[in-house]
Amino acid sequence: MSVPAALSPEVLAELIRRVAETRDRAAFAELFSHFAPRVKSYMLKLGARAGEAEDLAQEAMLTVWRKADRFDPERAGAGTWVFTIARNLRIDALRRERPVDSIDDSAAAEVAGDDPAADAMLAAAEAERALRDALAGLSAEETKLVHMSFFEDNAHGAISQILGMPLGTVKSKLRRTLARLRSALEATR
Amino acid sequence: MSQSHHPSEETLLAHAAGSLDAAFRVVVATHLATCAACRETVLQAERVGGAVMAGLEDAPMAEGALARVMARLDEPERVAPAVAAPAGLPAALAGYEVGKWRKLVPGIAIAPVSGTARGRAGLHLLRLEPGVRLAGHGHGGMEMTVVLEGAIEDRSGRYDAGDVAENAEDAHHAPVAVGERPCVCLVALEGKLRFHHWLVRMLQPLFGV
Repeated sequence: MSVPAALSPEVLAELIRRVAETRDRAAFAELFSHFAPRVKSYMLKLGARAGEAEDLAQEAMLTVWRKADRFDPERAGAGTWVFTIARNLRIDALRRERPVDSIDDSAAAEVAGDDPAADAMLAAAEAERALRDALAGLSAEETKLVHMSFFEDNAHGAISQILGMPLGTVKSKLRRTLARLRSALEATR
Repeated sequence: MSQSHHPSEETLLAHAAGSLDAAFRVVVATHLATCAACRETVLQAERVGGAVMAGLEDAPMAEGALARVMARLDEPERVAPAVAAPAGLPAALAGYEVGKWRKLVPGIAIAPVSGTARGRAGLHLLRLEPGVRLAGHGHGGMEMTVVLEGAIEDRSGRYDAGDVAENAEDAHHAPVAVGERPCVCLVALEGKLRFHHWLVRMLQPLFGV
């Protein structure tokens, strides 16, 4: 199955903290074996060729090492953070000319809530778990819509074409699905 | 400042997924800089992205991949020099350049914004003098506008700095610049050719053709 004896979100966050604070290479190696194959898989799903997906996954892990001190466990779980790194690398790979750092993340990070750190970190980890469960509970069609949103360029137009569904229907179904996922997230608050 | 007109939820999802065309991404990022509510929506969608990625079947890395990356950990990072946004424009436009302003008709000027990655959508700045109305127009493709300065108003309400208007292909609207100052907007529009087409249509009523 796709989820081998996975490390918990809390453990992953702790590993990233160790990389940030003590430049812990053993912790990094654990993060690598957890995340690199998933990032590579993500790149392949997005249409990267095998060699390119491998390079981007290695690059993503290098970014994890370099930016570990910017990981804010109160804002998002480890899986979410690595996803945004992978996504930004791919955007940059597509744009080539100007590798500009991601536009919105730093601004967003500054407005993180002022919950006590530990609670907030647990909440972020809890949210990741709740979401994973909620995703598992979606219908086949909803799962497909969510996956295609993340794996197709010009996602909504493409989904509409591939599923033979009017664009408006795609959008309203997506909105409903997002609302379901959001209520799963909010239940963890 | 809190915003009253936001990008649609699907657009925020596409932003989080990284599937938005560069021009639209810049418009959305400009909005996000001043809208905490939409930043939260994007974060939630990013969590979904994290969960989707976590659920993917592993693609085994090449042999020796870990060793190769470990060997690079101490490499000095090649940091691209920080690029500033053109003077007076939002940070989301870092690395972009504003071309020459052209007066379309009295009270309306337009300037191309370039530096975008390859994409289907074009990016422009549009300036309307107070009281000037953009002739009613439809769109060949998706259009997304964020107000940078001043305000515009159309039948869906008033748009101040940071507000986003998202118009589908079949939308028709005729926004008018309100207030004392000119209104400057950043406009992303799908398809360059369509843009000219859109311009033609926009100018038609003004020239009475």
